Amino acid sequence: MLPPKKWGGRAKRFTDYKLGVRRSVDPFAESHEQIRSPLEDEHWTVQRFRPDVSAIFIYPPVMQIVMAGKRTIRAQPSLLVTRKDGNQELHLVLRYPEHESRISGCQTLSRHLRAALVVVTVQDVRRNKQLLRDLDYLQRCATRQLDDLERPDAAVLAHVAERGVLTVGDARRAHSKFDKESIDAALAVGHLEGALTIHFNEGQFYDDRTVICATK
Amino acid sequence: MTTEPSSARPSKPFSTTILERFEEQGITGFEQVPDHQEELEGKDQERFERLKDSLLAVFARKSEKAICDAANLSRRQLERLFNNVLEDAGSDGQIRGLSAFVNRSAKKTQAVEGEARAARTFIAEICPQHLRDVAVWTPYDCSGLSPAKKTRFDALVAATETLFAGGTPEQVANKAGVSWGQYKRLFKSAMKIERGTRQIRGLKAFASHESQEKRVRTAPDRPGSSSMGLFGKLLRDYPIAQKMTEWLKSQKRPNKIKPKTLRSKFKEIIHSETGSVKVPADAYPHTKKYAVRRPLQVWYEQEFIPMNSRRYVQMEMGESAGKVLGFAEGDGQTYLLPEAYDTWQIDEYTADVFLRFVMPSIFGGWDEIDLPRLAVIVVRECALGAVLAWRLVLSKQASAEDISLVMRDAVMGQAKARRVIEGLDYNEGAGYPAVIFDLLRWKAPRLVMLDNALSHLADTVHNIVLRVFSAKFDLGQSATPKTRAAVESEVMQMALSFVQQLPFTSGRDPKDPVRSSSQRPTGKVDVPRFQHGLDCYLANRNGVAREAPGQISVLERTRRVIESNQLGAVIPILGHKRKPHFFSMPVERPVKYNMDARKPRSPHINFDSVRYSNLKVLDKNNVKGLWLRIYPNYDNLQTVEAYRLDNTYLGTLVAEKKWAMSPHDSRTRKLYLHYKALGELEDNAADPPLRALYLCLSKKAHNDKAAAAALAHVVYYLERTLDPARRRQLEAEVITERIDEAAANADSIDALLAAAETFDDDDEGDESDQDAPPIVAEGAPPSLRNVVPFGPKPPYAASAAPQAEPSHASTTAGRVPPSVKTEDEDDDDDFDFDMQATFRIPTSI
Repeated sequence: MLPPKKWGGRAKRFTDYKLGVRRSVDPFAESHEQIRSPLEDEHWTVQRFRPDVSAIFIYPPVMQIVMAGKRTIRAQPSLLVTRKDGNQELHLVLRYPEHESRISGCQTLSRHLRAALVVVTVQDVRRNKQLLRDLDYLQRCATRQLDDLERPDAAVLAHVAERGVLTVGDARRAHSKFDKESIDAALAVGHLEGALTIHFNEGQFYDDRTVICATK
Repeated sequence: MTTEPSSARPSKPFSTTILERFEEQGITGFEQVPDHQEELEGKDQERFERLKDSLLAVFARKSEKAICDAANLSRRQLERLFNNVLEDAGSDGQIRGLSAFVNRSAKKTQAVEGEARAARTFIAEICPQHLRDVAVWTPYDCSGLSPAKKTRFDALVAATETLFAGGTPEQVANKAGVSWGQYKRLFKSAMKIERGTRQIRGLKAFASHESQEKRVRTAPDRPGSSSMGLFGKLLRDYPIAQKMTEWLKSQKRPNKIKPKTLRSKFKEIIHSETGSVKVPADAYPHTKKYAVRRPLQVWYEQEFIPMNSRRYVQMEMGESAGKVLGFAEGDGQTYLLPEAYDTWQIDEYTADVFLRFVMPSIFGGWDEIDLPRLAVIVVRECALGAVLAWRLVLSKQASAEDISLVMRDAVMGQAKARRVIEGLDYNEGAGYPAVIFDLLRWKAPRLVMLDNALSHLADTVHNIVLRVFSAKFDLGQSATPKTRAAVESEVMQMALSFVQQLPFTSGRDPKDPVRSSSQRPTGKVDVPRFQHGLDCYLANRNGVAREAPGQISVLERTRRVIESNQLGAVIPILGHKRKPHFFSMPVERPVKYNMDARKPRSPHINFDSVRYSNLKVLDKNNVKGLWLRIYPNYDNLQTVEAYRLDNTYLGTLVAEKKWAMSPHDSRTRKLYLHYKALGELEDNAADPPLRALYLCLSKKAHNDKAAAAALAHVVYYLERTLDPARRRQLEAEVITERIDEAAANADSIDALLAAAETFDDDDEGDESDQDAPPIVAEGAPPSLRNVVPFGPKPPYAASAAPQAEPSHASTTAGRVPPSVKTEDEDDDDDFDFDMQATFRIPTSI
């Protein structure tokens, strides 16, 4: 169970983020997160559901690079994503075209860190709004499940492993004694743990017809 | 001592090892190995022949030395090359054969792969993902181009399509008709932001002489040369612009900047002897005295002001003008459009009305106390515009506990206010969504948007949103109400249409004419009447046709949305988290006890300066070092729910004797502790704390509006929890599930009451406790959490037939189950609480 977080009230409210802030629970890492803008939060959600990602560092500290002792480059990507194979990615979420000046600094930084640089804009993040909503829904189901006393995770994963390929509707019907949010949470956790794969890109992203495949 | 024989087997001959691999591929003779067809020259031919001879030696099963000498290579190199011979050629299952001995082909393949990789890297570095299609680039009308330029334009477009399709630099250059380096320059130009727009330059970059970078002077100033571009060069060579910007944005500058002021500061900077700005005396601008006037003003108008527009407006036109401009810029946060019932906004509003509270007087009759302007909390849904819940706080400021109670109202259903105005009720079809639609009851939103009010920043509110609702929440940027326009407009509409239409309104601001004492009638609005009116107004808002839901009422639109299965992403709250105790911030407390014979203290925890215990739950033999997670019910602190730190349920703990006698909420407890700390309570250890608080507040209420509001809160809370008429009304409106739950727990309530008698400050009952009936078994269902085990014996208890706890969220937990005891049973009860006796006239007044 995730213990309640003490955010620090008014004294700590503006220390990290002067403007708005969005706070949420990362149910898969069992931690609390806060991020500057809804756009970055949506991109974080998309990255969080990548099975090959092991850790996401929100707003790594501003890094300074002194080029040949003269020119100083400051760079701060939005996310520092570490994949399970050890490689890193710098994600830069741009809210406005004017912010593209941040790209060059992050390019230099990514070369020094030997990390890939991923630049995303509003259009990139919100191209599939339904997918965003579905991932957000799965995240909330998993958050809700943290305090659930009767979790169907083991039963659902065993069922998926036995069937091999099935749909979300099949899984919900097979465990009808649980509510569908608990089943969806179990599937989301299994997807991130590598026990199964949810094929979000087929049809309506996540509904009864979405295909689930057990991972061999 | 014996030596074991070596277990290492003798290695196979080299030729045998290689031939086994060939035989696995079905090749038993040299003639079956595919030959190389192309002619070779020079060293390639010589190398090829040597390797061919070595392979022949392998098939002739010659020695390793002979094979290596034939090829003039080592064994390892030869093994690698022979493996290459057996590699799949990629067509018809053929192996590469002798072609693997050709050095040139491998190099060529590597080169092609390297070039393709270089092209992919170039695209990844320069071109964002969403621009990797020429069709989405900024278009350009090429009809005005000459035939030669048009041909070049088309070739470059075709080359770009080839590049995006995975072409190599050589292919791209061939298509484009320019070198790869030149093409890269043109591509970079196409990716640049066009001046004066927010779009990339796009296809315009491929039209010859149509786009040109701003020309930059690089030549130094010489005697007799033009001053064209020298000012820009000066700003690039020295950090003058940064220093000017710092000064222009600082408080040291004058409010109005005139050209002369600007020039004076500029001169001061370039003449400074210290710092990084040391312009030589024989260089520009010292050499051209008047050449700096115009470009300096242009820099100020065209670069400084657009980049620092808000600061400029603040300084030149005033702070308020800067704030207005800040609103126009937005807060830089865009949102996905909310869906039905998945996004909430919460806000408070200080009611613009003079209120009074009428209460029974200790002198007989009644007293009227004037209240300060009170806070109203409103919860609104964003997509359709429904008001989900509201709450009048009898205080100047809402607290985090008030927010938690109103959030529970929103998911459970807002109960009707007490009906005090005859004939006033909801219109037909009006009400609150969670009351009318079962599907919306106990459904949590996806997102809760709040401002930075002190109560919203409390961990209590955060915990409820994150853990009970499993939702996210946004704390908006300060002073940007536009991001929460839904609730702000609802509050403004409520103020204009209802509150400021009341006869005793205080008006919108101090300059409002109704604020003038000569303009307004003397008198005040009763709190119950205000609550009744406000309740009907907000419920009716949900029932009248409005523009936001499409010229029909919000509730009708909700019905249609539900029937068409288009409700937003609302998820049900877990069953055990619907209890009032879970709408709180859990706190961790150690279990304390003292076995000293002179002053024994049974196991207990301290919460809000009050001891809570339950001897059947906290066994004195098994509590050493035990920490508990406590969930208080903010609307009734008689009991708290205790969990172990591993989230297993322990049981219900009951407050110490004097606090367990009557229901009280967290605000009452805080008021008591506040005035006790000030030394203004005239009580002793045996007095009921509510009586002491009442007497203290009664003395101060006529001079102190904060105390008046506190007194009104205490009395109103007791009224709504104890008043028989109020109870009957609530019982008639009760939600079915709550009735069932309370009825099912009736037996448990009796058990709790019986157990409470055993809990004493002096810990007398250690022995007798062992015979008492069990209260709440470990691991028992959390259904007991919703009931109130202790309370005063109301005079109407014998006549109050219903067994249930009513539905009003803000009042349920504080209400006493009416049939907990009969009067006969309570004759000897030490905890009997008589309101009349508690509020008897003190002799000191």
